[in-house]
Amino acid sequence: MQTTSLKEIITRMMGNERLKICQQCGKCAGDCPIAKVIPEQFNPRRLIQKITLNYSREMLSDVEIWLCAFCYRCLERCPNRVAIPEILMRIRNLSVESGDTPKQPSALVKNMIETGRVMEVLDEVEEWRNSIGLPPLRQTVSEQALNEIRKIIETTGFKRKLGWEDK
Amino acid sequence: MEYAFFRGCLAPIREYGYELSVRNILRTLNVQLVDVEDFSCCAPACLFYSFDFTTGVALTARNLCVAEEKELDILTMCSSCFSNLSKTRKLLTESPELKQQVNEILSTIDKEFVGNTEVKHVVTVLFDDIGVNKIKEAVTNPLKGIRAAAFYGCHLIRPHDVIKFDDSELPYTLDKLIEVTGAESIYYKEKVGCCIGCGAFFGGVGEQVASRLLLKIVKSAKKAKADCIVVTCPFCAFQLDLGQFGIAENEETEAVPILYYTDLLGLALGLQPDELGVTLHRVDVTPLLEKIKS
Repeated sequence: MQTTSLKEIITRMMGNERLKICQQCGKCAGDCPIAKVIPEQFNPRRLIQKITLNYSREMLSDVEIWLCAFCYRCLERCPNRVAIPEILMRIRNLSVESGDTPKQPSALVKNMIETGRVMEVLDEVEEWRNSIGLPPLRQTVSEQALNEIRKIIETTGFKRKLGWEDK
Repeated sequence: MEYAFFRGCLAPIREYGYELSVRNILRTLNVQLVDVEDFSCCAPACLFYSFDFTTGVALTARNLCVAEEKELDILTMCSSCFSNLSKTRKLLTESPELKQQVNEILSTIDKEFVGNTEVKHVVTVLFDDIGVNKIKEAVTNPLKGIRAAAFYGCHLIRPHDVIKFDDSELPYTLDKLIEVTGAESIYYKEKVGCCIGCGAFFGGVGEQVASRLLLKIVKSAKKAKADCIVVTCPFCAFQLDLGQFGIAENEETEAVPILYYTDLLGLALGLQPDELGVTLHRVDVTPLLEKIKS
């Protein structure tokens, strides 16, 4: 059984950027481009309320926490500078750790680990680039950079955390 | 002036006309770009930090270390790269604990983050490092009569405590840079809107949200009689430019051409459209180019 609240975990994870007291004024939701279009599905004010009221465990498997696009408008408007995007980022990490996450990393993540780029460089792209006088892009970043990326991924246990390798 | 050129992922592959435009206007303004094959994707928040914060910081920090080794400041052409690299740099500079943790990871690849390189965007270089007065002197072909709608996007100006460029509520830099070209920077409601391009591309935000936002932006610019929307980020361009085809069938609204700021400036500097990749934009720019010529 979990004895530590999500609020405590997030506060600890964020170090000095503590989860400040939210007044529930709603400026964040009022200026959130996503909440303006799909208010029933995403509302940053409501998300912070859930954390402070400790409705926490349910949140980890809720798709709502994955809808923020990190535009940072809420942070700029918040009278208390509650770092909502950063908090959501931490909750996503906890969600991944819990093994209960509804969100799988996109194929772009695998591309980045394999080639250093999130998108494949097709032969046509090289031809098009060449036709307007741009230097070749190559399929991957340098061999050294690729080795370094792989080493970092290995050291942080990224694939294990994502469940791509045994825990 | 010399910078390590951080091209990012989307621009060189899907928006390569922008790369041409950036290279050619900077060459005209005597700025040197150094191509660096060791830079990878910047490891943005939606892709890496969201799944594992430490992995995200370490991958982004590796790119910062590459620039430090070359003793060059980074110049990005993507606002999302700009924001992500700037944010990681600030986090590492301000938190000794995080810096130590990340440097332990980086020590396995013989790297160390020191923090002596700055992160810039082509727009911040134009505004801060070159300056509007110098640019004004270089303009040979003022774009008189062109009504340009500046679209700031998100990551050129936010989060403000990280970026420290412009004003996040009432930004003005892009307007000033547009006016230097001789074009008129017009007011419209969605000037500081969000296109959700990177959120839709990297994250979990659906197409429905993206096209609703797109429609708002285009309609607002159209209402203000804009000849073009001027962007500074490949995600904004990709979203607004390609996205207009998706909504064109449902909406009886004429498409608005999307230009990068560097395209607009390039034309004012007397460069030809094919030196700027301008004709590679999806919405037809021919009427706009005709208007500029006349």
